[in-house]
Formats: sequence, C-alpha cells, structure tokens
Amino acid sequence: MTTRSRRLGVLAFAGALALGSGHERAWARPGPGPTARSAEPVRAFLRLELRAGGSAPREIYVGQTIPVVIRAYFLDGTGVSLTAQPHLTSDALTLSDLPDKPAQSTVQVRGFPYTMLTWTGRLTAARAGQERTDVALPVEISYRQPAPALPRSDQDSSSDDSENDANDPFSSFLKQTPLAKDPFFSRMFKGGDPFAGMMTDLMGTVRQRDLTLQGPGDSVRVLDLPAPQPAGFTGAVGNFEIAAGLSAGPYHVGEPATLRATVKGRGSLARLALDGVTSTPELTSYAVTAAGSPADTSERTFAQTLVPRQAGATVVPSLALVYFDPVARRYVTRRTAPIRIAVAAAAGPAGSSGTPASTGQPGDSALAPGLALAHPPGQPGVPDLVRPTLTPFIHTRRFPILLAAMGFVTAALALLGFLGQSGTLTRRRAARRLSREIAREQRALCEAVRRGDAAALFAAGRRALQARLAGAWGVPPEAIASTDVARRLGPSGDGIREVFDRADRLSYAGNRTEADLDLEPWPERISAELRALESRT
Amino acid sequence: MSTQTGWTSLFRARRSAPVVAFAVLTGLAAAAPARAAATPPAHAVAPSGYSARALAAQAESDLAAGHPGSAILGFERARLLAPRSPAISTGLERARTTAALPPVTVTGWQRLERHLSPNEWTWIGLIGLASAAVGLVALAWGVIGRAGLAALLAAGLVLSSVGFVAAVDQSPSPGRAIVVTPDLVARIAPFAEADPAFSAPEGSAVTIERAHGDYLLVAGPEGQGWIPSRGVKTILPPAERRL
Repeated sequence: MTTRSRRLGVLAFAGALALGSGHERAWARPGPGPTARSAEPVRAFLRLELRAGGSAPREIYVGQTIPVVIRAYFLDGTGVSLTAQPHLTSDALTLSDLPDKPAQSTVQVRGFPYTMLTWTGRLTAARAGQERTDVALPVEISYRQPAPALPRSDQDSSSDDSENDANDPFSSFLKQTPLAKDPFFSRMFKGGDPFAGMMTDLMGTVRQRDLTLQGPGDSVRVLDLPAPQPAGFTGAVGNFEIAAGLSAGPYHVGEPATLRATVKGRGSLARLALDGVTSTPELTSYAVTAAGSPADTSERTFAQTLVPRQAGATVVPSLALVYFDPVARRYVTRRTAPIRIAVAAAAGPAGSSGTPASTGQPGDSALAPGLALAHPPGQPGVPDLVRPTLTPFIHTRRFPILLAAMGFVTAALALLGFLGQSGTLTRRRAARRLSREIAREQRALCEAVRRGDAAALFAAGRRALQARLAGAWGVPPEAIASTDVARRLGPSGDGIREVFDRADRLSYAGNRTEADLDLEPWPERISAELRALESRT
Repeated sequence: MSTQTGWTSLFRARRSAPVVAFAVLTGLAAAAPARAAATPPAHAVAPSGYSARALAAQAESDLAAGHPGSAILGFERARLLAPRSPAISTGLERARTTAALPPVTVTGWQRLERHLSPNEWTWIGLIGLASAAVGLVALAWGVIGRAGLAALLAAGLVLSSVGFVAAVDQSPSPGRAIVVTPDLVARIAPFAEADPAFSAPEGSAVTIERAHGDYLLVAGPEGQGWIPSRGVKTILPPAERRL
C-alpha cells in the first residue's frame, strides 16, 4: 500500500487520529501516519495524489487541470459520517468533478484493517504563484473507547464521573434515590457513586467527535500562461482534438441546420469555448452552445445553428480551437475542415410575405428572399416599414439641435414682433435714413466749396437743415420755410434762417454779394447748426 | 414722417406673413421624424435599412432554431418600427413563453404608449412645442391676443409633455440589452473563475452599465453582475447608438 502510494506521488497523508491509550485528548492532536514507527494504528488519515504523467508535477500552468485522487482511511470499527466534500485549503487551486458519494473499499495498512473512501476529481490552478496542495475533509467520527487498564485515582474517577454522567444510564442510579442524601451511605462510598462507570468497565465508552482531517500537501509552482495570447484563446489548457459535422440535409434557404463540434482530449474542457462560425452573406450564424454534459471530462460537444441565406453551393467555414499545450509549452490552433453543402431554394410558399432583403444588422444583414414570415392564422402580417436607423429620433443628436433651432427662431421672431409693435424699429429706421440724407448733403456742401458754387452750397445746406427739422417736427422737409424757423425757433434759429435766405436769394435772384465769395466757413457753420438741432431734439 | 408711416403700414399689412411662414416651418421641422418613419412603397426597400418585416421574419427564424433570446431581440427591434403589429406582439409573447420568462405586467399608460412608435410620440411632442412657439410669435406680431396665446401655449405644452414623456418611455436606452445565450451566469467580477452573482436567463432584459475587457457589467432585476460581452446584444445596434 505504501509502495504504491509513493509511485503515484503521495503529497501528503498524515492528517491522522491516533488510537491512544484511552485518553480523549489524543484525538485532537494529529498523530503519526502509518509509515511512522508507531506501536498502534492511527484512527484516520487523508491523502491526495496528483496523477499527471505518473509523477507529481512541481510546475503547472494557470488553467491547467490535473486528475487527482483523494483517499481517506478509517480504522476498522470507526463510525464515519461525512459532513462535507474534501476541499483544498488554497484558494488559488480548485477541486472539481468530485463524486457526491466516494467509492468505498477495505484495505490493509501495516497489518491493520482500514475502510478506504476514494474520490476522483480534478485540480485546476486558478492563480499564479507558489501554492500548496493541502486538502481537508470535515468528518464526524464515532468510536468505542476501551475501558482503562489501570485503576483510576479518586481525582480521575470524579472527573470521569462528571463527564460520564450524561451518557451512563447507571451513573445516577443512586443519586436518584432518597439514599443519596443519607449521611450513612455518603460516608460508606466516600461521597462517590458506586454505579458510576459500570457500563464503561464492561463495554467501554462510545465517543463522537466532529473533526477536520488535514492532509498536508506539497508545494506546487503555478505559472502564468505565456504572453501574447493568440486570438480566440479562451483559457483552455491541455491537449485536444476537434471534429465538426453538419446535421443531415437537404438544406433549404431559411431552414436552420446544426453544426456540431466535438472536442476530445485531456485538460480543462470546462474552460473550453468556441467562437463558432461568423455570419457570412451566405449563412446566418447564432451563438454557440455547449451541448455536452459537463460531467463528461473527456469530451465536450458544441452546437451552433446556421441558417442558409442563399441557394446554391455554400461553404461552412472551418472552426478554430485554440488552446495551450502545457507539455509543449506553446499555444496550439486546431482547425476543422470546411464543409461544402448545396442549398436549395426556400421550401415555404412562394412570395408569401415579400420579405425584404435586409435586417440592417451588421453580420446578418440579409434575409433569404422568399423566407416566409410565420404568424398564427388570422393574424395580420407585419407592415413593410423600412427605416435607415432603429434609434428613435429623440435619442439622436439631431433632436436637441432641432429643439435649439426652434427655440432660437421663435425667440428671434418674437423679439422682432415685439419691437415692431412698439414702433422702436420704425423710429430707428427713420433716424438712420435721416443720418444718411444729412451726410449726403454735407458731402455736397464740401463739393460746392471746392467748386466755389455758392448757390449749390446754400441749397445743400438748406436741404440738410430741412431734413433735420422735418425729423424733429414731423412735417415734410420741403414744407419748412424761413418763416417757420423764425416762428418756432425764434432768435436761436437766426443762423438757420440766414442759410435759408441766402439759398433763396442765390437760387431765385442769382446776385452774389461779397459775403458769398467767402464760402470756406459755411460748411462748419451749417454742421454746427445741425449738431445744435440734433441735440435739441 | 412719411417714411415712418410707410414702414408702419407695411408692417401692419405684412405682419401675418412671418407668423404663417414660421408656423409652416415649425410644422415641417416637427414632422421630420414622421417623414423618416413614413411607409415607403414596396419597391423602395433600402438595401441596408431596417425592415420591420425582415426583423420579424428573422426573429421567427431564430425562434424556430431554438434561440428565444435572439428572437426576443428581433421582435423588440421590429416593435420599434411597427408597434401596432399584432404579429410582432404575438411573436414576442411566444418567444418569451419559449424562454420561460415571467409575463410582463403592462399598465394602462404603457398600453396607450405602445399604440405609437417612439418617433410618432416625438412627432406629437414637437407639434405641441411648435404650437406653443407659433402662439408666442403670433402674439408678438399682434396676430392673436393674450387669450389666444394662453390657449395655444396650454395645448402645446400639454401635447409636448405627453409626447416627449411617452417617446422616452417607449425608446430603449442605448444600454438596454437582451441576453441571447442560454445558461448565462453573471459573476461578481469580470473573469471566468469569479463567484456567480446571479443567473441571467436567455431572453431577459438587462442594462449595460460599463465594460471591462470582454466582460460587461449589467444590471438586471436580480442585481448587478459581469457577463461575457457576447452573451448580450443591445436593442439599439451598437454602431448607431448615437447618431
């Protein structure tokens, strides 16, 4: 037994309970294993064996899965109740695929009969680092402790009495009688109970304890997978083979067919995932599902639904399986062979719904022409609505822009309307027109001075002044005469009246005086009159 | 004086014209989403558009192939285009039944909302907003009085509130997604060995909150958890979540 265990790679074995000399405290202390030089057998112990190529590995990779065997040994005559499954004490290593009920057999270890419980499972490394493969097993053990060989001291007797009172049906026999408090009997038995320990002396005591067996393990170095990881790698570590096949034909446009891929090998099959076939213009593909039983640790099956879109010869692309080979220490990509199929036209009623050729989705943008839309009889069909986008208008960037534009235009038009209603705009337009007219006449003044044309100078001056006065008085400019200026402005309008008078004289009489020959100061005088009028209005 | 009088008369004579023009323009702007959702003739099917009929047909095909999650996704997308189609509603119910999802409780307001598409509700909201704007402009230009403005404002604001609230309710958020693979388990951290948080049944709706590598943090009725990104698909295709 010991020899075989060494060959398989025994990492630990010594979580043990010694069959002591009758003292209970010995049970709580881990005792020596069966290989130790012990005169008496241990009550129970635990072992974990790694089965990786016949020897215990010292280095494994993250994600690598190694078969393990966990054995728990219990000395014959020991009652055992398992309260939980064996587990590893390191959170960087996980145990999986353990059976609910262990296999049970009887073995001889160093000449002693043992009941052996065996679990087979898988150990997977989840995190890089230096880890230990210590294993633990919670159990409830019951056993019969033999009667003590030597007479007990008074102290021990009283101690045992106190402990046994609860379980020994005879220990309280005397105490339950009226004689218990009788001084005579008390003196006769020195305060003790003559029936205490009677059953222990005859058959021993049945003990029951909740314990956790500890199987000390070895140190294992968990390595990270080498970088860079290739595309499509999903964490599978081991050595695998892949084969694929399509469900039996004939194949029709719009009718689903199932592509099945079977992966066999050793390693972390549970971590295996396939990307499957991507959609092409000829095929619509769906998500890959794992069809095999997770309990099957040597094979896993994946299924993917494919729907042909076009009639004619179609090729189902190859599937790729990428994994890390821990023996070769490199990534490996296995590919299936492409599958060529002949797709017939849709089997549905011709032109049943006039299905458009596109769903608009990238990757599955086309739908087979003639694919019937099945709906319950009597239900109206789906309206043929097509839109360039599915995103509701309220979620697009154009929506807030449209709201802002509407708000801006509304505010602008409302402001314009309010200004128009209040006359502000009209007044401003009239003022701007007056300014432009006066500026034009002032330019004519300067031109007349340059030419020495007195008639033109005073005529322009009169028109400028008339325009300014018309703006202030609200009358037509041409209706304003020298007499109006005198009546309305009085002496302050003398300068304006002089311009009007000279303009009339030069315009109608044409005779020029000496004063008319000096034209230089007049543009400035007329401008001053205009500024005075402007400030006055 | 004659200039001012001329401008005033011109203003008074033409003051209704800008209001009318503005009303027409806002009406056209409000009708933008409605035009986008208009039914084209059968021969005008765009080669790369979203067709309600094609989406529903694809969903039926998914359902027949045993993929209720993809079917629910397809029907949800089709319902965005044709909310009043009984075939789409029935198909969605069948897909949910196939996926063994619990029945959806619909309130009276939600039943009313489902009569129109999000774009149609947006159109109603914009019409309401345009009415209020036209009322304001008409008052400013002296076309209507304060009573008219009050009526237009009240009607417009009520219409726009109802329209926009319903449009937002009916529109799936950009992160709204459907679980499309079976036996999907959400985990407490974004890696395969993390402890499970909850089981996300195929076809159930979740909301994507953020991404980390190949994992998405989703929120569902049972809480938050990380799931592989290929396990869900958003109702609004990722390429056009924000146009």
